[in-house]
Amino acid sequence: MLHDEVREKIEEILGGEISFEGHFNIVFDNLKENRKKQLIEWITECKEGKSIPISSDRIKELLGFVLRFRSTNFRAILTKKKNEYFIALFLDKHKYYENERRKLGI
Amino acid sequence: MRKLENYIKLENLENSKKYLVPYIFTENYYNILKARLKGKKLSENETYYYSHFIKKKLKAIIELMELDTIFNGNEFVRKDRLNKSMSLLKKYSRKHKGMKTLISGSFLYNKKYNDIDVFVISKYDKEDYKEGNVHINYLPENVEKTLFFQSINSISVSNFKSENKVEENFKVADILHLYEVVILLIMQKDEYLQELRDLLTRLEYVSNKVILNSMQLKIITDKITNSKNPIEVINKYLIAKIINAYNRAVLRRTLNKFIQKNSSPEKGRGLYENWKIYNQTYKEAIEVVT
Repeated sequence: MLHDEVREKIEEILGGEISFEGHFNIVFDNLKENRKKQLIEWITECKEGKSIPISSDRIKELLGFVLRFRSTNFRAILTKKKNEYFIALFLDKHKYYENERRKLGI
Repeated sequence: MRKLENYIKLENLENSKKYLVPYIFTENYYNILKARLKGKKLSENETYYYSHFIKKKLKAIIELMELDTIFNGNEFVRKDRLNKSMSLLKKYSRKHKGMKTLISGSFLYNKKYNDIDVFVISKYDKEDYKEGNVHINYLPENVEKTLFFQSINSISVSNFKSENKVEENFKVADILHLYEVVILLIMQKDEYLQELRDLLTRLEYVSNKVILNSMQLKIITDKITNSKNPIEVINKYLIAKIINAYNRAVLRRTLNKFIQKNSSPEKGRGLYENWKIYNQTYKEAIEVVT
């Protein structure tokens, strides 16, 4: 599965308003197939309320879900406005994820 | 080998003038080197003398005294790893000409190790890569002023001496954000070692201004990850460290703000399990400082 295909699939799960951030395309294309599956499963669990979030102290009503891929340096953050819609899916290396977390207050 | 003049400080050059002139450098060569260290523009003649005579003498001194290899935390480095670490440093210094390079991690001090970590400071954002079990990590130019760098540098073999000090500030909220992520990752059964290392290094630094070296960090992380209940240990560790690290009023205010943000879940949901843990920890910390 390549990034164009997965973007469509994620939009189907979370809604068309979701934006893709970080070096999403490059990182996704570099993930192994089982990690790609893991990402989709995790997004589905976030949508279904099965994953636990962190709440932001910087942005009001913002929730962040965090995924760490095993044995890689890649991380994902999915943000959501509490009780409403999903905002963005961030996918990148650890160093960028640190900055993103700081920016989001999570 | 890095730029030769990077091995010399202007102050040291001035202090050792009586040992240098006339035995190693003539007065003229000495003045050219001094001008170069000051960053002054050299004339055509001076540039010629610098590259054909002065530079070569410097290179000879550096090679002779092995000044291009610096051992930090020498007492922790295993003697059976000295030769290999020196040859690896030479290899990757040659590969990354003029760049600051260091070898750090468990390879230097532990019998068992997985990868050998080589760090190269580069002004360009390059992709890390692996060559067998050698992991080459590129770090940005300003990394020397970070706690992370000072920690990895404290037991290392490098081709430079870092004179920098930590110039990072960690606010209470920064620490709590990282703590929340670590607990979340543990609860999700994800890997959390890297985040835990960052948390522990920062906690020791903010509470005692201690920069843990990689060996000390490994001992503490091993104790936590091998404990029956890592979450409980981390909670206690966090409380013990933050109560002494910050102004009490600031700490109380931030902890209360975090409790508040972790008190209203989404509609129809009970309080998330991780939020309960965070708030319990924050309440205990408030009790201690009140």
